[in-house]
Amino acid sequence: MFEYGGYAGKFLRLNLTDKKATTLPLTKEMARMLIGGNGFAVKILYDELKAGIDPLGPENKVVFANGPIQGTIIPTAGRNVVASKSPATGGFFDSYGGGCFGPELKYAGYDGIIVEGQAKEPTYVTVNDDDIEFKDASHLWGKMTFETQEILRKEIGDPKIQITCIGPGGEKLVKFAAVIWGARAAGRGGVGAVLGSKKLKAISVRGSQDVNVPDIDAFEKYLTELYGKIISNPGTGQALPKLGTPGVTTVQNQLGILGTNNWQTEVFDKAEKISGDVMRKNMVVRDRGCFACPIRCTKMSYVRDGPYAGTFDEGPEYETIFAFGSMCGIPSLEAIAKADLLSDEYGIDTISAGAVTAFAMECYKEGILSKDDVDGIDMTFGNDSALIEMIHKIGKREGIGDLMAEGTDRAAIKIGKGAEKFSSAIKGLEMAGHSPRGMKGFGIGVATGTRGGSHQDARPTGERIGKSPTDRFTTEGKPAYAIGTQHTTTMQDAMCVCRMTEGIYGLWEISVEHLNTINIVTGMNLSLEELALCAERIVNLERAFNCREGMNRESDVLSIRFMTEPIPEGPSKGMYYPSGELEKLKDEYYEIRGWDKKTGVPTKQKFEELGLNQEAKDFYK
Amino acid sequence: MGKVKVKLFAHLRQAAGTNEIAIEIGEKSSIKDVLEMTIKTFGPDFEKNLKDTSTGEFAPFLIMIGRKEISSVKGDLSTIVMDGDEISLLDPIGGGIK
Repeated sequence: MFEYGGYAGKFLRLNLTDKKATTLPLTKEMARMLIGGNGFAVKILYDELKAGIDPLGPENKVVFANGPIQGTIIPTAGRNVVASKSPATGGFFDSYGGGCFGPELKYAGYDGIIVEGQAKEPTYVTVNDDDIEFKDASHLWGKMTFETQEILRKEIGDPKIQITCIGPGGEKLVKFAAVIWGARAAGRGGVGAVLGSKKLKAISVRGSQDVNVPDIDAFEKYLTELYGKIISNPGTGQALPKLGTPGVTTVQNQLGILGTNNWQTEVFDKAEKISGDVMRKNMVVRDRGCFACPIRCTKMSYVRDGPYAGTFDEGPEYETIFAFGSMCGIPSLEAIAKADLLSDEYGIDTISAGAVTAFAMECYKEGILSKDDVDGIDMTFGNDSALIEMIHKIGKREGIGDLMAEGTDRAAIKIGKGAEKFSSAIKGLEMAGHSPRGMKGFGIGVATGTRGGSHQDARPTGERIGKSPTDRFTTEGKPAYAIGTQHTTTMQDAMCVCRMTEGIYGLWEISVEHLNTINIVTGMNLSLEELALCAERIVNLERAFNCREGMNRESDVLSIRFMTEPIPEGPSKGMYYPSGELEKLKDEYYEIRGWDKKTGVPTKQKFEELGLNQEAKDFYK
Repeated sequence: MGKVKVKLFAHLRQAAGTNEIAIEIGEKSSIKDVLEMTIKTFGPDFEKNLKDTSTGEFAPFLIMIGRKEISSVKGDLSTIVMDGDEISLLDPIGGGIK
């Protein structure tokens, strides 16, 4: 048994080239230094990948990883990471999903799975504790994700088996293809395309092993306290159970930070039609929770009438409402639910799919793309049938969908004619539904983050709920604040707990709550300082991965619109991130981080402080 | 004496059963007074949507008086409101997933 509680003690390695399964032991040092999740993933990928490899070539690898809490009933312990070198950003990318896959993987005896090599024919892998089989997936290739799971469940004969898979989007190497389990998605960064390039259609997992904690009485006592905090908190005890993340739609709009019509503005005059309370009233038929989650923020929606009648969708979440709704100027929750369902079935990321559609709509509006260029579709903002058609075309890589499947930055280069100024991508990833120009701390955090246009490195929450040290309009102190949010998200991702608990764990500091959870589950008895160093170590390792791929200070920018166009109306009117302001804040940010101000690379001293001496040698001879 | 309009967002609408309410104010009513009067109007089920039930403290959320933003947790609750003010109670929801 592994020395610390919570962990299984080994990773499963699946080599698709020679169809061999082996294991890699988890070391005590790795657990103490990197906790789990993104920490494990970045360490494995940094050590095992060479810089400059093709993300869609056989040399790339995909790491599924758990933290120590998966398999226990610590609230929101249902998540796990899928990480790889991203075909969207070219850097390290970690994408997360809820559900039950991570816990089942732990019960099968693994802290993670490393997928490597490339199969010649479509393949799926069954994992039943130590019994691993590589199987022909020819009959599944081309199938949508839900059908794939249904067929496999019948074929394997176990209704409770957990299956992760890709859809046609991943098979066709859509740069923002997702990995799906159930109806949950590790949506961002194109990790599904990496599996597609390896011809790995699915992995099924079933386990029968226990997860141990060192002191079950202490665990139960702490668990009761933690549940109590979640239930008594208005955010996790009331807001999220009632409306889920869609509740935030009208809040964002009221503050004038709801990206609309491809970020041309941040006020959507029809936002009330896509609000969480309208969704609850008209569409939600039941609530659903991931493994071990008392919040149950997932809303199951059913469209009763109209052109999308019969759509039964898990969601949509806020990000999807933003991407398919306000970004495309579409005030129809029914159309958004249909687009969400289709995206999950094709296995593509809803945020990027909405952003590329909005980008195409603006290019069409400006005459950069003609009606012929877009296969005769009327790509006017607000046209919901155009959105639905675009999802099909992207999922199949047909016509205009083939171009848009590359993501906005690559599509803009191919289109030319100044289209790049309409791309919302940051480091190659389309911006999620939070405004980098309307929240100064969030903006500097996004610019410097590992993943680019993500809301999961830096966080918008503190500034949006008035809890950050200074308000969202202020730049003073924001580099330190942004670093704080990046560390808390990193710790949450190492633990693999859901962002919905960020108000409980802490918005911009590694807290006693993080520490208690980890120590009670593992018995590692880390100090708060040691734990904070773990978060900093992971961030720096991710940065080192990206710098080794050629990213540098110049990569830490926002998209053109956010740096040159002020928000034109509403409560955030006039806000933007001029280059001079951003560069000044970057100096301060690098200074605090201990990163070289010229290159953006962690200094030798910083690497050594964090025990990353081996990695330092890649940059300092 | 006068009145302010309190606009509710997200789950607060569900909890109150309405999107807005007019609240009567005194000469020197503060935002805190308005919040407490709103809670009194809608009752204890509404209160748990704004306050932590174990501590009785307001959760962090933004309140807008017109376009001015005020934090529920930074001592700004003493801000005096004026007759005709439009007050928006936003919501302590976390972010998104995916």
